[in-house]
Amino acid sequence: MMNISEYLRTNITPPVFSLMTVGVAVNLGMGQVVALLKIPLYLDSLGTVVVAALCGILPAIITGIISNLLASAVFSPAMMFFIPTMLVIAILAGIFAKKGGFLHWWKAVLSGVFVGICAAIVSAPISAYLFGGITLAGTDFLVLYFRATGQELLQAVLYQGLASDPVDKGITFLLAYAILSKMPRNLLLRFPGYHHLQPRNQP
Amino acid sequence: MIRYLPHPVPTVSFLLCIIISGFILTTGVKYLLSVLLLLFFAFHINGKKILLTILKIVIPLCIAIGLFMTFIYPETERWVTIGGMRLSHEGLTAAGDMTSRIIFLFTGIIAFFNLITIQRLGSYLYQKNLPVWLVFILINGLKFVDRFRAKLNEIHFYQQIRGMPLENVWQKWRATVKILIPLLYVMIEESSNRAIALEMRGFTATAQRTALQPDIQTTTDKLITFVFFGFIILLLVFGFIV
Repeated sequence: MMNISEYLRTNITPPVFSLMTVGVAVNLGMGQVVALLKIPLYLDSLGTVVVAALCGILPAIITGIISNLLASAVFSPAMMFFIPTMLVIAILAGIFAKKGGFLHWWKAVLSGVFVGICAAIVSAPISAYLFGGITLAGTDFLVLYFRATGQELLQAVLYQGLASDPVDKGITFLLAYAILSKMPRNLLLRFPGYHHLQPRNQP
Repeated sequence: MIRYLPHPVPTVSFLLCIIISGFILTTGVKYLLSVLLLLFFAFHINGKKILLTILKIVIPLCIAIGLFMTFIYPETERWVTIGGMRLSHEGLTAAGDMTSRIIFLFTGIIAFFNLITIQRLGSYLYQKNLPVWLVFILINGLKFVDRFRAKLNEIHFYQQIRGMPLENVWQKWRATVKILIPLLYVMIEESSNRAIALEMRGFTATAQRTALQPDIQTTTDKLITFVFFGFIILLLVFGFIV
C-alpha cells in the first residue's frame, strides 16, 4: 500500500501544484471580485472547489489550509480558526467531483447546498465559542435576531449559518461548474480529475 | 529598539504558546498579557502596524461582542445598572471572557506574522527537506494574490470597454464567469511556467538540499523555544490537572 509521502510525490505534479497556487490566490482574491461586481456573497472557497474538482481531495485540503493561514496573515487572524470548515468543504467537494457532481449545473448546485449545510454545522461551534457569534459580517444581524427570539448562542449561530452558507456554497459550486465547463480542454487535460468532468460515454 | 528577529522554530513555538494560553488562562491574566505583549512588540518590532490592525479589526469586534452580550443575553438571571444602563450580569462576564480571549489570541497572531515573513518560513522549510511544492505554494500564494488583483483589474477594464453590462443579477453573474475564465487561464499558465522552471533547475530533486545562507538556530533561539515549550507544558499541567 502506498504511504502518504509516496502518494504526494507521485500525485502532486507541477501542473497540480501550480493549480493549487492559483487556488490559494483565487480564495484570497475573490473578495475583490465580489466587491468589484457588487455581489452580496463571500465566494471565498471557489479556489478550493476548483482544485478539488480537477486534482482531488488531498490537494484541495492543502489549498484550503494554506489559504486560511495566509488569510490570517493578510486579512484577519480569525481565519486561522476556520481551517476545519475549509477542510470539510475540500473533502466534500472532492467526493462530489468524483461522483460526477460537476457534470450538470443542477448537480453542482445540489452538491454546493449540501456542502454549505455541513460547513455551517462545522463553523457554528467555532463562531459561537470563540467569537460569541459575532464576526463583523453582514450576517451578524441574523445571529442577533435569533438570540433575541430566545435561542441559545450555538443554535442562533447554526441557524444563521444554515440561512447563508448553503446559498453561498451553492453559488460557489455553480460558478466552479460554469468555469470548468467553459475552460479550454487542452488546459483541463493536464489535471488528473479531468475524466470526472466528462460523461462516461465520452472520451 | 531591539533588532532581534527570531528563527522560525521559536516563532512557531510562540504561536503555539499563544493559542494554547488563549484557551486556558483566566480573563484577567489574558487582558494583562495582551497589554504586555502589545507594549513589548510596540518597542521590539513594527508596533504601529500591529496597533493599526488591532484598532481596525480587534477593537470593533470586541465592542460588537460586548454590546451584543451585555444587552441581548437571553440566559440572564441577574441585571446590573451601570451609568443608568441595565446590563446583563451573565452577559458582562461572558463578554469579558470572550473579548479577553480575542484580544490575546489576535495580538499574538498579528505579532507572529510580523515576527516572521512567509518567505523566511518557506526558505527554512525548504532547507528542512519539505516537499518543494509546499514551499512553492506557501511563497507564491501571496505573490499570486497581487498578480490576481492586477490581472482582475486589467480584464475588468477591457471587458468594460467592450461594453460588459452590469445592471441586473443575471448580467453580474455572466460578467463574473466572463472575468474569471480568462483570469484563471492566465494564472494557471503563469504558475505552470514557474513550476516547470523550478523543476528544470533541480528544485524537485530528492538529494540533500543546500542553501547559500543556511538558517541556523542561535543559542538565544534555542533558549526561547525551550522557555515557550516549558510554559506550554506548565499550562497544560496546571490548566487541566489542577
